[in-house]
Amino acid sequence: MSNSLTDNQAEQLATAGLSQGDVSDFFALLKPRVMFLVVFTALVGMVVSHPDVHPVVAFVSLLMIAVGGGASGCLNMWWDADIDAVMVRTRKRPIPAGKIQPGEALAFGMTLAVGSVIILGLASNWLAAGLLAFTIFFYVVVYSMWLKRSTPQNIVIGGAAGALPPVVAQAAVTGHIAWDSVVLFAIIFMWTPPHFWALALVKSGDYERAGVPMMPNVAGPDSTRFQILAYTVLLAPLGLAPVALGFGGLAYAIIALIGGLAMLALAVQVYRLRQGEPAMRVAQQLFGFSILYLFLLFATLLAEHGFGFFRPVFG
Amino acid sequence: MASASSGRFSGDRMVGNKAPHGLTPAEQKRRRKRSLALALILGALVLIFYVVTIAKLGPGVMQRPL
Repeated sequence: MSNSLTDNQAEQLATAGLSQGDVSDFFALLKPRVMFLVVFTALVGMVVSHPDVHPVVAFVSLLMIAVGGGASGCLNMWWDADIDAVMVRTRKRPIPAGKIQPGEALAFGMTLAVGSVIILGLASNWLAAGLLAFTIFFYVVVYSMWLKRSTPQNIVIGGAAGALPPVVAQAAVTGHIAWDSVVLFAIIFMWTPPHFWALALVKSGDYERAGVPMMPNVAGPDSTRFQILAYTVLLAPLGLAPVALGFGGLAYAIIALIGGLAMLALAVQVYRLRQGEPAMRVAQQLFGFSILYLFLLFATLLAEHGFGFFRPVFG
Repeated sequence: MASASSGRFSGDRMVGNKAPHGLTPAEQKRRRKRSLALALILGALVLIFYVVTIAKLGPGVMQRPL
């Protein structure tokens, strides 16, 4: 018996464990579009706090919140690789596409999660770090591992993870949590169900194939339409809460009022139109407009507090 | 007898010293890009720790008991 390796054996030994993923595949694991939303809402959470903190500390905090958000996305993709593979919308993601092995994604995500929490704690404070750790835990364990496959309320409760970045950001630059970031949390939290259920109405076949109990698949499209309307009725006035609390100015009041009414009008249309192509089209419109609505609310707050456009509504 | 150090591989693998680990050119390119990205991240981490230390301590960074 020879101890020598054949070419083939040597090759297998050398390339065993070698990643096949490109840098862009690893970046895709971070869900860049979600990460942008995280950074954007966190930035607004910082700016409305008018923090007395060094810009470098604020920048690094924002970066670590972004990395923590990316880690959540990566760990979510690791856990959900099986259902991603059967959904048209997600089957080209790096793990189901075979570009990155699940173990690689797990190691990558855990490294980023732990690293971002530790660096945020060292750079800002441990309240913010704890909140970031809780956000990652909530998104990966509570939402992805537990709720997503077990209840149609998955995105309602899980939405808390997506709503937390402004709170984490405010804690990072002020050391405490104030009402303004809690209101921003509530707006994103209440926005999540109409946004995702509008998408779920259009993509219900995809979710059904994957066995994900989204509201239209479990309670039916009509019940989902009613719940979309109910959440939008709560969301529209909640969007004006920053004005009542004094950190939303005149421009914000106008945008929140017009945007809220437009959201309500679309939600009513989604409730009324239940058959065929028009029903799908209006659900798609609500999904698209909900993104614009949230973006405009936060962009206006950013303009008012970050660029000096704030004009008080009262007095 | 073939051995791991012979540097001779078949098919679309490179021959000789260019591919001692039996990687295709595409695999080598991907690995180089990953290594570069990792180096950049490590460099950024060093910079972050340095700059945050200066920002948090300010002028006090130079004042320490001897």
